[in-house]
This record gives sequence, C-alpha cells and structure tokens, in this order.
Amino acid sequence: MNQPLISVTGLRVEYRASRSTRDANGHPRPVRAVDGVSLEVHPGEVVALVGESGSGKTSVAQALLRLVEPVGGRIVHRGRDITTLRGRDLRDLRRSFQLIFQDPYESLDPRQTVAEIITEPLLIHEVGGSALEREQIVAASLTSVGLTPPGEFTGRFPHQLSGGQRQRVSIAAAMVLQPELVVADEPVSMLDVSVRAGILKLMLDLRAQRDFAFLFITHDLSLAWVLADRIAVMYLGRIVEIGPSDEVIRRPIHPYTRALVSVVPVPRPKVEREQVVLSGETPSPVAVPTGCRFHPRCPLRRELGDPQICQQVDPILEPADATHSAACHFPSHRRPKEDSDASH
Amino acid sequence: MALLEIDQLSVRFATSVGDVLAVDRVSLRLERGELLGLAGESGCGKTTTALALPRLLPPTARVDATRMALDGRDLLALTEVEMEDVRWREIAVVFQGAMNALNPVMSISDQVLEPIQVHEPATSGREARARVDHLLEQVGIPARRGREYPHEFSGGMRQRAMIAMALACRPKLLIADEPVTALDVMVQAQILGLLRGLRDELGLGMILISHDLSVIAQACDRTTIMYAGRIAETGGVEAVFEAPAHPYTRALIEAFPDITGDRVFVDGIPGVPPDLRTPIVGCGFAERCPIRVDRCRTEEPLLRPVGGDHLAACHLAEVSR
Repeated sequence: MNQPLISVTGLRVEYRASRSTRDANGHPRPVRAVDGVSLEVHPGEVVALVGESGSGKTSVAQALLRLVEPVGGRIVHRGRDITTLRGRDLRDLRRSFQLIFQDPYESLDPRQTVAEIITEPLLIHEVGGSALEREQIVAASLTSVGLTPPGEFTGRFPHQLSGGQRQRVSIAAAMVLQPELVVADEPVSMLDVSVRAGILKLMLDLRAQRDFAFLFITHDLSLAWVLADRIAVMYLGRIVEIGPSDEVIRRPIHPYTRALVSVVPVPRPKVEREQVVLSGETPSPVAVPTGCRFHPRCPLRRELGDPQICQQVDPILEPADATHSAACHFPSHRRPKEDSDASH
Repeated sequence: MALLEIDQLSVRFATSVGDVLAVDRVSLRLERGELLGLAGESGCGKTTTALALPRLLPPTARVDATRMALDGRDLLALTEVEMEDVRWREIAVVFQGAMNALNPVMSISDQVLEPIQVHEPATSGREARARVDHLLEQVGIPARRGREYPHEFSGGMRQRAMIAMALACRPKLLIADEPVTALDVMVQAQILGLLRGLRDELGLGMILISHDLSVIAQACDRTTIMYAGRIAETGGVEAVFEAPAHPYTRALIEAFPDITGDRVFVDGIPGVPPDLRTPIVGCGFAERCPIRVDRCRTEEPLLRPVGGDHLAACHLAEVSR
C-alpha cells in the first residue's frame, strides 16, 4: 500500500486524575484515556473511530492533531515524525489538519459574520494575496458547501442560520485551506435526521472531489458503516477491532463488537436477531481490568468456561485476514462459516 | 375503554412574533400496557402534545381539546389542585435530560422518596423507605447504592433513578421524553429493555417520545409520527415501518441506516418544516414532498385508514390489503 498519510503507533494519552483516584500510597492514578493505539489513515480514506463515551476516541483525534500531548507513542505524517513538533512547524502542519466539531451552535464565534469565519484561517495561514482574492475564495467555498448564492450568506451571523447551515459554515471554514486530513467529531449528532444525511453527503462529496482523508469520530455504529471505508472499534482506550466497514458490521470478530452490532437499533420492528445486551457499564479508565480489558463483561469468556488467559494476558490486535484484525484470545471461535446470521 | 383518550388537542403559544400553533387537532388513544412511540423531528409538537396532559406547559400555552381523559376521568374538568393530585399519582413524566438535573446534594434514595412523602403523606416512613428500596431494585439499581449521590452514578444509572422516581407513586401513565437520547447504545438497549419490562410487569401505559425512529421501531407497540404539529401517520409499528403510507414517514425511515439491510446512503429531506406562525393551508409537508400534486397545496389531507388501525394523512396514501 502507499505511504500512509498519517500513522500512529502505541499512542498513549493520560489525564491527571482528581483527588479521589489515588492509589494505596497516595499517588494520584492517571486516567488512561488512550492506552496503546496504533492506526493508519491513508490519503483519501474515510476511517471511523467508533466507541462509547469514555472509550478514548476523541482523545486519539486530539493527540493526532497535537491538541493534547501524548505520553507515549509516535505520530508520523507522510514519513515525518510529528510527535514533538513545535512552533512554526506545528503551525504549518495544522494547515493540513482540520477539525469539525459536534456542536455548530458552540463552535462558531457568534460575533463573526460567515465571511469573517471563513476568512480567518486564510489570514492566519497567509493564503490569498488580496482582500478581493480572499473574497473570491470565501464565495467559492460557500458554494462548495451548498450555501448559494454565497452573497446571501456572507454577511450573516451564526444566529441567523439554521443548525444545518451552521454546520455547513464550519465545514467551509475547515475546507478552505484544502487540508489533507479532516477530523470530524460527531459532526451530525446535534442535527435533525432529515438535515443530518445532507451534511454527511456533503462531506463525502467534498472528499470525492478533493481527495482528503477523513477521520470520523462517532458513537453511532450504523452511521460509521454507511460512511466509512474502515471502522476501528474502541473500548477503554484501545482499538479492539479494525477492518473494512462491511466486514466489521457483517462479520464482527471481537465479542464486544458483536454485542454492539447486535443492539444497534434498526428502523425495522420485525427484524429477527439475537441481541446480546451486556450487563453493567464500561469500567473506569482509572482502574483498567487485568488481562483483556473486556473480560469482566465478556459473554464469550463465560461461554468458554472462563479461560484463565482472558484475565491474565492482554490480547494484542491480530489479523484475522489481510484487512481485518481484532484483539481477542478466541477470535476464530466465533467465526465459523455458518456465521452469516448478521447479514440476513 | 382506553386508558388515555385525547380528541382534537390544539396548543398555541403566544410569542412576541405572533401565535405559534404547535399542536394542531391531535387525537390519540392509548391502552393499558401499551407502549406508544411519539416520533418526529424538533418542533413537530411531540413533547408539547404529551406535556399538555399533566398541564406542564408554560403559561404562554393555550390548550384546547374536545376531550382529554385518563382512565375515564376528564382531565379538562380538573381544578389545578385536583391536577396536582393527578401528577405523579396518575401521570408521571421522565423529562428529557432530567437525569442531569438530579439534586447533587441529596442521595438517590432520598430523591426517590420525595414524591412519596409529598403526594402520599399518609405513608409511614418505614413503608416509604421499603418502597424506595423495592423501586430501586425494580429498575436495576442495587438498593444499597441508594445511599450514593448523583455524581457517583453513570448516565445510565441516573436514568434508572429517574424512572424509579417516576414510578414512586404508582402512576397509570408514564411519559418518557427522549429517555435514551444521550446514552450509549449498550445502555440504550438496557434502558429500553427496562421500560418494556416495567410496562409488562406493571401494566403501565407508556408514551415514549423520540426523534429516533429506530428506537421507536425496536421498543414500541404503536407509533404516531408527527409533522408540523399534526399527525402524519399512526398505527402498529409493524404496519407503519413495513408499509409506511405517508411520504414523510417513508423519507424519515430511510434517513436511518439499517445495518441488517443494504449499505446505502440516503439523502436527507430537502427543505425545512413550515413556519407555524402562519396557518398551514393544505398539507404541511407539501413543499418538501416528492410526490405532491396540486391538491396538496390547497386541501388539508385528513387522517384516514389505510389498513386496520393504520391511519395516514396523505391524499395519495393507498389503502393496503
């Protein structure tokens, strides 16, 4: 395969914990938000990072964009180590990486007009020689996100826009510097369903035209499935399964993914499928279970008669085939050929 | 007799820019032990419809109805004092996001206890405490954890506590507004399973309000889809989801990916809902409708049967056999 656009290896992100989480000796225990994540994103690829709250998906993205400092691991951009990049070099790098936030009501400055919001990145990165040129760039970028005619939107303030239009403005501002990688953190979870699909379609269309890579962070497995080329499922700071979207949904390997897929609500009342509702909740990242971090909730472990290895040995991501990997000691156990129940 | 009967409910809000007709002649029936999903997008009137029942709308709301009755009791005729008695004891509400509004300095048990003390003052302290423990266990919270405070509870556990509180005075009708919206998918499945279990166990009538049609499809017996203050379609979930008769319902269902089906990406619904400050002429969905005809802009489509108790408000809806 070509050189990845960005590759992270062994990424670790920790946050200092509050008073209540000291160990026996009174030392504060860190919150291990990301605990050894390796991931590659190739040019033009859409990768979805899926996980429940607290799984570390947002922290991975923030570390990747160098918005938080990782405590371990390496981030490599087109062959160059950017883990500790600083100053001017980091600023230049940020031109190629853009972020779209969840809430378009909070991410736009209420005192800036649409034109000012989109012009700001141009000024910061000194793009567009003259004011006139910048005006043209703004108009073109508004058109590209479907806000036409652009003249009708340039003078408006965020409060004069609908939620969908605001998110289009955020996208225009993120795209105006022609980035190589766009990270979108739950970009549609605040929007109504009828608006949501239009925004996602827009992002995919833009990707097709401009060939940037897209890291989509979401808790919504079915959205990830329709949108992404590959899905990485996170649990408690780790990627537990990664592979082509359709593979991960149709033939999940890891028992956690299998359970998640089985409970994703579908808009069909009669669909027959066996739901695996896990009891309890994801443990705190302050006290990660020993061995496989999923073992206390794992239905497969119980089914197999509680093998010791699950509590003792931390499983690593191992390929099941060329493109699909999972971190489970018993991956093949649940993957016999009759495993077509998920597809129909 | 149905547990809940609503006929021709309309709600107007007085605003600085004129009256907004948020709910327009809505009629509903709910049986005991039935879970009704009230669905639609923001502003469609689903929450306003439900909150009109226990009179929990702001004072700017003007409510008209020809009938609103719970278990045969006329809700429209009640005085404010009588209505206070109905809230909690007859109709309980789990408000949207309320799990984030638990009192941070009061233990979970004490908060579940409060409605019992207020609405059933004759209950002895010991009896009330025992009921709280039972309620907590019933919603899947170990009774000993009742001593804890909201910050020690996860989102899912706090939502369970809210449900226990709503059930404290043994209501006949439970209204749950977006009860799983901010929760993770696994916790969602747990809470929906809990609500269905309680419905069976207690024979409650339940109204689940949600914008998420896949949640409605999975959890409810019947559904009512609203658009621009009116009912677009209503019926059993199987009928509505397998053979949607209203073009809005069809478009909305298609906007939700179905991982058991084909991997297709559908567009949203172009356009925006109508401004409810001006009266809707004809069908409220006409401007966004892919199959509208001239008549849709002039003549209001009334709800009519398309098969059994499956009704749709569309001139072009076909009757299925």
